[in-house]
Amino acid sequence: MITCDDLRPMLAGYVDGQLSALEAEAVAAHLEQCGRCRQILRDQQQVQYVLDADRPPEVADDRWEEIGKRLRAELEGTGERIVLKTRSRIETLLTSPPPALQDVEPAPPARPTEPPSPAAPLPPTTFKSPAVRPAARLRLGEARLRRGKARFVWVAHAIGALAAALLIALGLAPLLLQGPSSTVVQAPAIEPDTLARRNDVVIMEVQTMAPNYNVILYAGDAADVAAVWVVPTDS
Amino acid sequence: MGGAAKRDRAAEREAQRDTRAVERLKEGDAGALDELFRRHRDAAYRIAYRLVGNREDALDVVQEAFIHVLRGIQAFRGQSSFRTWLYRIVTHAALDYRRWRAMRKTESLEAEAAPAASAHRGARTPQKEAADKDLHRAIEKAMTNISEKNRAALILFAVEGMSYREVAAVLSISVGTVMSRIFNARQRLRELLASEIG
Repeated sequence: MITCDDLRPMLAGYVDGQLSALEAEAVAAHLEQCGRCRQILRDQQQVQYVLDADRPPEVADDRWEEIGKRLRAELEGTGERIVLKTRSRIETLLTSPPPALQDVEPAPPARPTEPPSPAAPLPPTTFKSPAVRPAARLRLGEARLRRGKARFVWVAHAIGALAAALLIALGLAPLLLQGPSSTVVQAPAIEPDTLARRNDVVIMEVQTMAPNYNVILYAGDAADVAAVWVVPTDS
Repeated sequence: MGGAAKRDRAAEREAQRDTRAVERLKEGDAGALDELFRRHRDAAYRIAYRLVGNREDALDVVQEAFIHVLRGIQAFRGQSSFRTWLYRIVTHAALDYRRWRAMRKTESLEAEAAPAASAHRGARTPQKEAADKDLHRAIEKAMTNISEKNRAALILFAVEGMSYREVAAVLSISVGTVMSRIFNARQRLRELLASEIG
């Protein structure tokens, strides 16, 4: 016996003609007996009717042409690079379900903090591979991301953690070896070699004291180093 | 049945055209970019508009979504149709954009009302126009008070006319979940628009 609770979400499918014949029959039979569900069905239809009747404002052709020109410039690498306000989730969207959308009803925005400048991009919570033009795509990182992305993520995390520990250990080693009474010894200066720079992303290589490992840093321009990969120097 | 089959065939042909254009775009063909942009910009705009609530932001979202497409096209392997992939990018870009907007505390939406009204066609009385404008505003406001995931499902179906199956593919959820999200979104809208639609 189908109950109202079982059936209610199916009312949407019923209104939208998205149920199988069998499901639609079951819903129709229930509706004959249940006034409350009939009312909800009418509500669903009414909202859909209102949405159908309400159209977004039209966009003039010249606005589309303007955007089309910018996109063409982006493709051809001419013109100024556009600073994005939204994050690239290309890798995520290609391989796995997108990050969960927020389930909560939105609260009114209340942030008394100073707003970022108009051109400021969203601060990334995690830093994916930098978005670079196809022609200038960098060998490193890009090739790695393409291969077995899902598997690579946890390996990268593990290696990143190892690299961070290694860097810390290398920095602290002289202090620990010489003891507290000795004069303070500066950690060896790390002088990254810049491998490439693409506007807001700098990719650097850092030589470490470990013979087989170098560290590759990807850094945004907002002073946030976002990802660390260690690769064998002979690879 | 005949109509549905015809629609399916048309969708299939469009998907094939997209696939060919994507291959050309990967080789840097600007004509392919123009073709994909022209074919999908209106739909992308409608989705973005319902998610961000005003025309200027929606156009910005469309531009950003296509830039994400350009920067990521080499990685696109056709696991889904280009349309599904693009709508997914537009949906997420629009939601990101809203968060960025909220951080900037820039209120946005009301200025759109006049151009929105002028876009409606047909001879209408001033009273009817005013009522439409009020309803339009009320819908925009109500939309911002629905949870993101319910709203995204409703918009992809109700505004873009995707099937539940397509919405499920775009949002990477099951068809059953699509159905319950759309149901919940409409119920919430019904509550929020109670005074406008009786």
